[in-house]
Amino acid sequence: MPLNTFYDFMKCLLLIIYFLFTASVIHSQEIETERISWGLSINYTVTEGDLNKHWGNFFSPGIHFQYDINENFLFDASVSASYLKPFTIYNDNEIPSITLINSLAGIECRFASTKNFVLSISPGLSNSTFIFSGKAANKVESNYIEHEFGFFISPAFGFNLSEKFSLEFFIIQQIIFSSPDYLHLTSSGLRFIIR
Amino acid sequence: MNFFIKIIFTLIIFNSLTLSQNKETRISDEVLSYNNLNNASATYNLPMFLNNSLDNWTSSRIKFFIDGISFDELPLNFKSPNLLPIDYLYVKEINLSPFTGIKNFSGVSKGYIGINHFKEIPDSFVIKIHSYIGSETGDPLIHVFTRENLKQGNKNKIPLSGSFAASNKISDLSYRFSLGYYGSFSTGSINDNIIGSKSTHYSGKQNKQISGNLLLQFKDSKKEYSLSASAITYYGWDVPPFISAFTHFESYLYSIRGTAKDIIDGLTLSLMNNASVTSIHKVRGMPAAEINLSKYALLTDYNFRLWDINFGVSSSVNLNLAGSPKKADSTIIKFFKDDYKADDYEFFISSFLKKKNFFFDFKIGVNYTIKDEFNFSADLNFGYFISKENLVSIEATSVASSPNLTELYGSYLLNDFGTTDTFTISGNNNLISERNNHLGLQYSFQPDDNINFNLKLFAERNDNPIKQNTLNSKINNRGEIYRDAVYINASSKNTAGIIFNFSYSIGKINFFSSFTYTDNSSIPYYPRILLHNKLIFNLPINSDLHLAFKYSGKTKWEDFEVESINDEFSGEGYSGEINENFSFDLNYYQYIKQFYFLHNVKLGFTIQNIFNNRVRYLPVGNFLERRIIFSFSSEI
Repeated sequence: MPLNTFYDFMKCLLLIIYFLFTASVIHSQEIETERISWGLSINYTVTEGDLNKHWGNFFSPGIHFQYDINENFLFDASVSASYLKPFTIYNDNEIPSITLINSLAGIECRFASTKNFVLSISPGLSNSTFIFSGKAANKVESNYIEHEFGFFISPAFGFNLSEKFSLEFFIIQQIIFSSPDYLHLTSSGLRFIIR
Repeated sequence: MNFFIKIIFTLIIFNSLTLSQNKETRISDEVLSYNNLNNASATYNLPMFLNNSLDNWTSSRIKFFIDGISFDELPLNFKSPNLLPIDYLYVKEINLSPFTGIKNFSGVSKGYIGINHFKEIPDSFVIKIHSYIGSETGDPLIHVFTRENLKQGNKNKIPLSGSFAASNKISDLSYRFSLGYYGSFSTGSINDNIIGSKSTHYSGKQNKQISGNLLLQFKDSKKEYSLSASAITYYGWDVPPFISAFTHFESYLYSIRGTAKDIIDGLTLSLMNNASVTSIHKVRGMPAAEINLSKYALLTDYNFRLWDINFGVSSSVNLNLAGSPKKADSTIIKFFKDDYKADDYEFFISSFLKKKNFFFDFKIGVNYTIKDEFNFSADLNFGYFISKENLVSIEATSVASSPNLTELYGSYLLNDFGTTDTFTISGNNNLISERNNHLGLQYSFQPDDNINFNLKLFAERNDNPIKQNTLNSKINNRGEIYRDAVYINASSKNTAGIIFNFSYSIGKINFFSSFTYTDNSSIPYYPRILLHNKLIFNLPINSDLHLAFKYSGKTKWEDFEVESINDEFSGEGYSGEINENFSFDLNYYQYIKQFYFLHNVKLGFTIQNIFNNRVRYLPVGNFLERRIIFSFSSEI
């Protein structure tokens, strides 16, 4: 549904603008590019309920951005993508394949930070895009792309490999607001950050 | 247990977050935030208000005042502040009175909502912008495929909306210009089913509003002249109170006002024209119709002081017009059979005296109505300061208000398509004015700026209330209630109750609480208990967090009762009962003094109905679910 896509795109855009405004203004009122770091991530997601029953757990690669607000707070944003094929026991006229794009944005609070070691927690908002494909996707006609909001919380600990690089292990607990039941995702993974 | 966990969760959020003024979406949100009014809407963005417990949804007598002058030319008996032609960005204050009273300028009413936006126009060139976007959450997503009988549906969405204003002052002449666009969707599991069946052409299209305002002000040291021209359009699906069913229409509402202040010391003259032009679009089972409403008024207001007492004399001469210009044929019906012209006149005298220990406010007036009746109204307020902090006051009011032209002469015919059943909603030219009597006793305690305590006991009686009376109703196979109905003067209603308001500020934390108990034995559609609590935290990084809890008790809408034999949807019928509603809301605002060329930036993030309770206040349309809104406002 193109209009829905546009609206959700605008929502995501505003979300990003919101956090960039906050992050930049709190510290300096200007976005300083040297405060931005980025990295690649890989995570394994354990699903529950209908998602687990029909599609199971999955791996997803992603890209991660950070903006240093100050020593203790960072703006965090990440996008990951995965392709979920339904279990073969299900009729492909009934259950579609899913391309899931998960966008997360939040504030990372670092509460134990040393030269080599960082412990943090990040709460925030998520937008999950479900793109249904295969024969079963015809069931929803033009609504084959759906977006939904959610919340997440993510504890992480990381090692500074050098001044430029760090490696972080993270867990993400995410709720996606769907009806009649919410979707619960628990992910764990690694990300490699370049400053 | 589940509720207990929610309370704990809410308290945890409370402990980590603050608030200020509330402007996340539209004027209705702002009005709602002021007290415990009911949002009684089928579509979230156009709430109707049951501001006064004795009011009727289909025939609200609540008055709207824009800068002290009434605006009541809303089509199809709508009562929504979102339809007022006002300059949203310059709303200075909102005055609310849930009770009967008299205001100057066409002012007899059963409660009123007054919006004043005569903020001083700044000396230099200023541009203001405000925008927002949002959506209800919880689409079915994968469950469409994994659960039986579940359809894909869209939630209520707010597309990117906002307004822009520019103002300046050049010598003695000031101007202010604004333009706005507001969008919404009447989508959702219940609405989609009904709307989709009525029209594939209009189904899924968004509701749109465009507003424009121009204010010119000439002010020298002695005199002030102003000219204000405002307009707002509304296009889309909604449930107008007159029809009580989903209708697709477009409406154009405008107001032109000229005011000369102090042309002679204390004398203000105003000329005004308010109008609405509405087209109901043809959809399945609903023919097209056109409705024009207009009012011309000459208003005078003279204030003077005599024997240390302030006096006011105000009068208005009003010409009211209604008509349906299009010729009736097989696809268009005449909502008004003829063109109607009706004049009415009002004359009021008021006085106000304030001394060290007491104040006294008295208004009395007469209205010669469009029904050629003489109605007398009176409003008395007396307050006595027991001490500097303690005030006791009493108010007694008796006002009459006449039916409007829609209630007298309007008529609309629906057909439940696929069947031979037809339904008519019609006005009644035998209606007479209704009268509302109100008595209130109030105690206020304000020991300092941080604590405010207010207790009010009230009793009200409504004689000959004007309302739409259902003669026959059914639920069709799409789940919509259709009915034959006619406007009547119903039997008298009484109520009494208590209102308790409390606010407390400690450091950077502010707490507001409002509790209302209303005896609803003769008005079951009004909740017995309304509770509204709000906590505001001022956070250290120029931000506020607001947390609100609202509770509204059970209601019963007798006019929506349908017997099981007349229910073609589920066969169970409908009792008209609506369960109690809980809603937790969170607003977060970030303030930025300057960001490049932007000044006074305000970024807002709102979650309404955090726990996604299915909230509903009216028996028609969707439930209201969790909604997330982002807003942005700034000056240049």
